[in-house]
Amino acid sequence: MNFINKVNKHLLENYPLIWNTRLVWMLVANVFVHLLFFMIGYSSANTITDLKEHYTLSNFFFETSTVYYNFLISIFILLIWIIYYLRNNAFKNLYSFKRGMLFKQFCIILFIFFISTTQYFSFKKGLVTKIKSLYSWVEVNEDIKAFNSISLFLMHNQADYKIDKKKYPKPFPLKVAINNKNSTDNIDFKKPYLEYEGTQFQFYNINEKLWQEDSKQNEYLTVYGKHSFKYRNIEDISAFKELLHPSLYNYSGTKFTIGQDSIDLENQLKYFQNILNNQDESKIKDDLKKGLYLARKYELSTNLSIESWFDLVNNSPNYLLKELINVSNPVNKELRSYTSNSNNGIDNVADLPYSKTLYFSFNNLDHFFSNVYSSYYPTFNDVIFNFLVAIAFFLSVVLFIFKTTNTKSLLLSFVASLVILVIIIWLMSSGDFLLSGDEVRSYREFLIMIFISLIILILSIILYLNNTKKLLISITFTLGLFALPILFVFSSLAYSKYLDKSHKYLYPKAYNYVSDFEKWFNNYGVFAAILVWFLAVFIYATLIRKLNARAE
Amino acid sequence: MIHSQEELIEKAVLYFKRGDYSLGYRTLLDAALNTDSEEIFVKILDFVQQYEKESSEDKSSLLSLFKDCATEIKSIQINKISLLGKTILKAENITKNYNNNRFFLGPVDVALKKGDIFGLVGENGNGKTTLLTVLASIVKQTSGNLSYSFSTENKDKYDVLSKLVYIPQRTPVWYGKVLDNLKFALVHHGVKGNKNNLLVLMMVARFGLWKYKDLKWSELSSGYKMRFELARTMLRRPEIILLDEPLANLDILAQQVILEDLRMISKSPVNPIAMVFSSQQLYEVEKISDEVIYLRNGKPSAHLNLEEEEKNYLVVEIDTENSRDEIEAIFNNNQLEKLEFNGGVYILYFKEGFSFNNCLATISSNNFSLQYIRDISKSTRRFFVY
Repeated sequence: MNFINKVNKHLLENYPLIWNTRLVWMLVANVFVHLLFFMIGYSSANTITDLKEHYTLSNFFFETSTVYYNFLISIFILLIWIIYYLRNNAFKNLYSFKRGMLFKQFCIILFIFFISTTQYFSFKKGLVTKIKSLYSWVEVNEDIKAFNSISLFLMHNQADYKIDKKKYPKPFPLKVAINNKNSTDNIDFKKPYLEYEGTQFQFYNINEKLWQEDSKQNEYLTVYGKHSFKYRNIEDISAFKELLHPSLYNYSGTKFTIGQDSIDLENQLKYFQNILNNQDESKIKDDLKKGLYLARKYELSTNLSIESWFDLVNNSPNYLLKELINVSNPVNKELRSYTSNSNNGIDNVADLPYSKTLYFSFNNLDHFFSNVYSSYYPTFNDVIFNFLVAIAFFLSVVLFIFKTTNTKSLLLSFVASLVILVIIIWLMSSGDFLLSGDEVRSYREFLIMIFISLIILILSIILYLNNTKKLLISITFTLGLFALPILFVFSSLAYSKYLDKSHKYLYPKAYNYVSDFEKWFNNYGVFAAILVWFLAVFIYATLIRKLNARAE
Repeated sequence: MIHSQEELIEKAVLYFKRGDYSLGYRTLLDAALNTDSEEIFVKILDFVQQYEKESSEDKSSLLSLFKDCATEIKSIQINKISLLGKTILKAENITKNYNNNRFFLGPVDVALKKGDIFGLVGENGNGKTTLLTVLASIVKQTSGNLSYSFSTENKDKYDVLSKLVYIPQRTPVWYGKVLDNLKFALVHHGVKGNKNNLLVLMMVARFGLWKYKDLKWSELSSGYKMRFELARTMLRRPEIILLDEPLANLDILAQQVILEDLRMISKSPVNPIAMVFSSQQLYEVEKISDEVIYLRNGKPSAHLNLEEEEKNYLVVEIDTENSRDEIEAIFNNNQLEKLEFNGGVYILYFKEGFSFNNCLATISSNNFSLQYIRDISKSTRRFFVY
């Protein structure tokens, strides 16, 4: 207590702004709170099961009670702080106050709000630290590759084993045209085709070069035309006729793509091809053994044994599928019916039966891999960060307005903002009588927002210059603080749309065109808006000082 | 009127020697504050601790310590040029109207110099607060010129207002301890570190808040709240102070102390301050003011021609148990022009040539029961009689 008093005394006698904003104590309190959330994050993941529970690391925070604790603690700290912060007001007492002091004060309260609402990042840091201490990415990556290599033998989904999924070797992958009961004109009978159980199949590649040339000359060509006979290069795959039945040879899937690249995929396809071509039973059994070892290691539920699994798999030479393996214990009939429905892709064979007893469940193992991967290769979560910055900024602005004006002004500003909101909603929903021209219709919402914010800004300038009542000026200043960033955001959006429309007017097929401005706005728009908001606060701080000194 | 620091110190010692301990103590603190020296503050604060510890009313045992302090203060040379008499506020033909001209103040002319104390009197609703807020630049005048001539340059209007303190009748609530609030005020005016602490303690001692320095607003009585406001005001080193009813809600003793403090602050030989204050305590206002502005229906006394009317006649206010008939009987020799009774006191208007001494002689020779008597011929008190 004595130490606290000493520090307070020193700050009060030397750094009034820091003393008044209680910056030091908020820093100290937040260090403890952030440490607490680091510890909570650290203790959130102890086993593989824990890591399977949530799909992303942020879900450990937002899908658990932690987010509520965070909310409560933040509110508690901020409320106590606000009580102390509002105790002394040098500005309202007209104490000698340098010009930049108000803006500095705002920056400090913004910083305090920011550190008091961003415990999520400490939580995540704790969680990541723990995950990294428990699991090595090198080992997990090897296991992912191992899982991908044995995934060939995990016949969960019939569709994955159909020929349209085949990607290797050449000439695969191919597009397939089918003639069946419903459509009978999909196939060019002058060229090679296959027939299987009453259905005709023709395999082809797209002649991309020709398509591109035609596409340039004829602007009415759509992507649907790409599959017309003109652009098909028919391939004769009579040698693979047997594979029209679901087969291990067709499987080209990747069970876990997390952290894997195209070379990994290529190697995996080669591996599949080799192991099946060699027809080496002992090698297949080794893979199955590895699969069961990994299942134990990652706490997966399965009743497969090497023998029962091998019986299902071993159907050389074409390795046609006989039965599928359940993704969960087939005792649960609901789940079984769900998995059997996932037969999609080309519709040439009836659904294969699922085994009556055998199952192999991954139990959200992808969550585990995803969480370990994100711990080692973190990506910055813009959405959460921007959201927290925006919240901190909004709260800081409201508190700053209260600190520099009064309760009456703040309440009336709130009422005025509600009235403006109603006007905006009315304008937006007022049908076509307003801004109904073809040119402006697509900018309607933007123009309404730009118009309203401009009106507020112009009104605040006029009232300020005309020495109107201080209360009225302070209300328009308050609204103006929000109007300036809104004006910036909606002007940018409108400009972005204008660029987009102008470009598409000249190049109607540039569906994916994104203007440089839009790219810039998508990347830095939030920061630019925050900067504009800072500018608004700076102007406000300068003008409110003059307004405070003005006679009524 | 004290004209120099030396004179101030001599007076302090004299007061203390004579047994006017409180007055001597406050005068000594004023002299010490004038030095603006940290060394002096440290020494004086040692004495303050002794003084505040001394529970007995007789503080003569502290005289030698007091003299030592006085000698120390005397040794500090003050080079500051006294700005006493320099015009700092000039208001010409100030008018202000409210409610579509239902209330009209002015025109008022005020020329305030450093060291001047102006009293503002008038019945409720006659424009005292309005005039003060106009002079304080809180409310804009409808017409007329208002100008300030501060001794230092100000960058903007906010800086001007920070040198001009207006204390409203209802002082605002503040939070936290007395000491913290005073330090917070002082540090904004450029005094930091140890000097901030020392100067605040000096001011706390000066305004009798020593025992209350750790209390909060809600724990202080009205008198001490006003003392706190004065201490806070003085720490801001203002050049003009405008006070609205500073004596309201104070007991008679507190009123006297505050008034004396106001006079001492304003008339400081080193840092004189221009001051305007409003009050209903007519006698007290007149006692310390250099000039009294009386407002009736927004019009100042200068525009009411009241002085002219009553200039040569004696007007006396008395409180007595005797009846109206008895009063008239005593002053029956055609001396009495007019007699008014407002339920509490009698106002006696005498004919020309009848002096206050004649009046006292008449009363003493007639076995008259007298509780209170006051010559209000030159006082604004007479304006309050209808």
